[in-house]
Amino acid sequence: MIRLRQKSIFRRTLDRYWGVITSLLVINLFFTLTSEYYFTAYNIINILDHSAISLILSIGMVFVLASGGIDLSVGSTLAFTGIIAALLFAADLPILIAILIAILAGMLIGLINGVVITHYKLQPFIVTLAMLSIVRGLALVFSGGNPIIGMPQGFLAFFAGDTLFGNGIFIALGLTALAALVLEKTKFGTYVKSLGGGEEAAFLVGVNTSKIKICVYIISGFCAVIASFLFMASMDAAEPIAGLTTEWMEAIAAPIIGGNSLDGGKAYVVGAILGVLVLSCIKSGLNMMGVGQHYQQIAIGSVIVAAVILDSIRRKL
Amino acid sequence: MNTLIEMKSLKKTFGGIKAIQNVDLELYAGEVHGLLGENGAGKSTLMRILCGLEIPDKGIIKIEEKPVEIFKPTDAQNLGIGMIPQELILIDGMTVTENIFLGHEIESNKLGFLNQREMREKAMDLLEGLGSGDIDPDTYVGLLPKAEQQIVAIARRIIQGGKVFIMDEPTSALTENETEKLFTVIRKLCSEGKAVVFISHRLEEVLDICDRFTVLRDGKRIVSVENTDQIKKGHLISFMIGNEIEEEFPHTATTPGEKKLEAQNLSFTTSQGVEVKNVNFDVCAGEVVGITGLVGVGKTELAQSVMGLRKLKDGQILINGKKKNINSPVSAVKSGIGYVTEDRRGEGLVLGLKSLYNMTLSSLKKITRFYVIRGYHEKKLGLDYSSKLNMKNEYIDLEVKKLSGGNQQKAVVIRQMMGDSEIIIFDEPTKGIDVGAKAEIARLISSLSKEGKSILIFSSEPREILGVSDRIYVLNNKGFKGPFKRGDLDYKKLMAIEFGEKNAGGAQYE
Repeated sequence: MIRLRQKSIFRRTLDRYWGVITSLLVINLFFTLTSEYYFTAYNIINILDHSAISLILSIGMVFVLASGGIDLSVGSTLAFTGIIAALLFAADLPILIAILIAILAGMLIGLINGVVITHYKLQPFIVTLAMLSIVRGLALVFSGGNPIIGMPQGFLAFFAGDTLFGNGIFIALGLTALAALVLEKTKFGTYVKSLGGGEEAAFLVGVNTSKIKICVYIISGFCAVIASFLFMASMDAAEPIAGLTTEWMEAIAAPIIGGNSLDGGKAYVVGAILGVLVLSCIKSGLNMMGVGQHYQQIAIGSVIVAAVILDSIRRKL
Repeated sequence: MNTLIEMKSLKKTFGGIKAIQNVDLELYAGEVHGLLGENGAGKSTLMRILCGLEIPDKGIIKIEEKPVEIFKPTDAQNLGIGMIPQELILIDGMTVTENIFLGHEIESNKLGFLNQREMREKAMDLLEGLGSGDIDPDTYVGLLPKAEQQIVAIARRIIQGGKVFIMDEPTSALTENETEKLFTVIRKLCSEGKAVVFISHRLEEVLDICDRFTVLRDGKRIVSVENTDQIKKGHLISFMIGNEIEEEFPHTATTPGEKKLEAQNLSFTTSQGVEVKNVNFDVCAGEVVGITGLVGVGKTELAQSVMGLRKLKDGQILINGKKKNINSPVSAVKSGIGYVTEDRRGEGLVLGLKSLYNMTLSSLKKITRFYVIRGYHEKKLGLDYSSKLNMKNEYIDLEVKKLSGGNQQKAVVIRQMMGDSEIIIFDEPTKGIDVGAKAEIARLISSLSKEGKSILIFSSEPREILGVSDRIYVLNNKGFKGPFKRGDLDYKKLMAIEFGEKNAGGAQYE
């Protein structure tokens, strides 16, 4: 009996991502041709640096999307936990303790999201939308509406320290690798995907679906906090209005561009990376061409729609 | 043979209706046990109890002579009992291996990583053991044909330590070759001492594969016998339907007028992927035409095709002799066809609205002036119709979700009457309605036909079809049969046709 051999990882990756990879190449080619400064070492490092925050948020979102949910509150969580950490820094708490408390705060927000969604069987959209508003409000209250400027040296050294790239991109890639490992190689990852693909089926084979769902939102909250640290380090400040629109939009859009689906069941971490790169490259390229911020928003929105349409066409093929 | 499972005097009531009463059932290790009965005889309820999906009011379940308690699906699973359901509960977006091991993953070490290689190997061994080594363990389950999905589902049950495999209509979506393949798998399971419960309307298959069978009728066990050469299809049918025939649905025949709707050479695909061809039928003004068949043969799909909810593969529909291109409910309504859906609560009604507003929903034109609804006229119109149908006046001001099933059905029917549809299609009009209301719905249908409307009823309840229809068409797994005139068919003959018996109408039953 001839056994069927598994396709190589390389083939599988190419099968899955040819669309995004092609778009990424086309985008890069276009900007390289239009601007002499685009394809330079300096700018590439710059793009990667800027991708770190989006990437971390996207990774959290990949978990949530895979489970068939959505988390709209990550932008607010980013702002709020940043304010918490900054206040604790200002109160001269040891950096490590302050960081830990901020992380716990983010995970608590995720926990509340998850518990409310599973216990009352509510739509993740509306629950996390409400949480978005609550947490943003808290961030504004705690900070009095003003940014808190000046981060401690140790904090800056770790999260913004310069080797070749900023440390941010390494932290982001580390988290991404960890996420890929969890999603592809553990029971937990399998169950997350099974929730989105068929919650009923998973429940019937004895998966504790509520627990898995709650964990997913906690992971998303955790990622929002780490993204917040990178944001604070790069600005040397905590902003109550950080992550107001683009960050969370990109956090959801990037995984979707990379082939993840709002219907759940898929967890494409590599897709999320590619999606983040698509958005960062477009932003950077438009900047080089001197296109203003306002027009960039229009461009990014259009890219998201185009990506989703392409994906739906691809799925029908 | 040793008894694997013994169910004793099980009883279950749903809102006053006895689904099963004092049913006993024994399953032996290594047997295929056929479970037979008409729609609503209690087969599903019995099996749902065994799987922990329903809790019986009374009764004992013993496994290997030890009494057990089954309150939820996981209880049943831990005892080795599981359904391979009609709607498979596989996850389309996951691979064959992932599906087989869902909930029973193999981990390689203390770190908690999955041992994907071992799972893949085991999955392939398992599939090979089931004679299906050609199923690719890495392919997504959603891409597999139905038969192979079923085998994957069986493989999953084996991994879960399944001893009893309950298969509800497993062959309804399969081709003959695929069925043969599934039977090989079933025989394999039994040779390993497992028990299979085989629920099917396809009596040839039951006679082919089953070692014993049990027949249920009206929630009672009629018989449990061994399958021998002496037993023929005719015996099974008479076990299932018994002898009593009652006239539950009064209907006075009317003289039909000219042809209203004519379907020519329709062909369509059922939701189970079976193609039905050469469907021809017609309805005249003032006539009630029934289209019947067993559950799952595609009646609902046919109704949806006529309504433009489902794409016709071929054929055409003539309304008043003219060809109409019906491709959506909107065009159906424009052509004068009204549809009363099977799923009233889901598709037919806006549950949170007053029943009056539900009634007038599709005929607002009649009661508006300058786009404003005139409340007085609306209420008057509603009262007119509700009194016509013996519906209490105060009901029209109640939210429709507070009404009983029968009154909800009336609200839907009133909407169709107000909408001036010439042709009204009913899909399972008395599903989930108590007996009294059923008779009333039947009277209602009669009175609609007397008003000159053409009525098309899709129903799997033979008594209802026999009671209300002027002419009857039957859809069975071999094709579309009919028309049969009212009076030409009785219960036995109709059942024989539905089950695909060749000498339909013959007197070979005792």
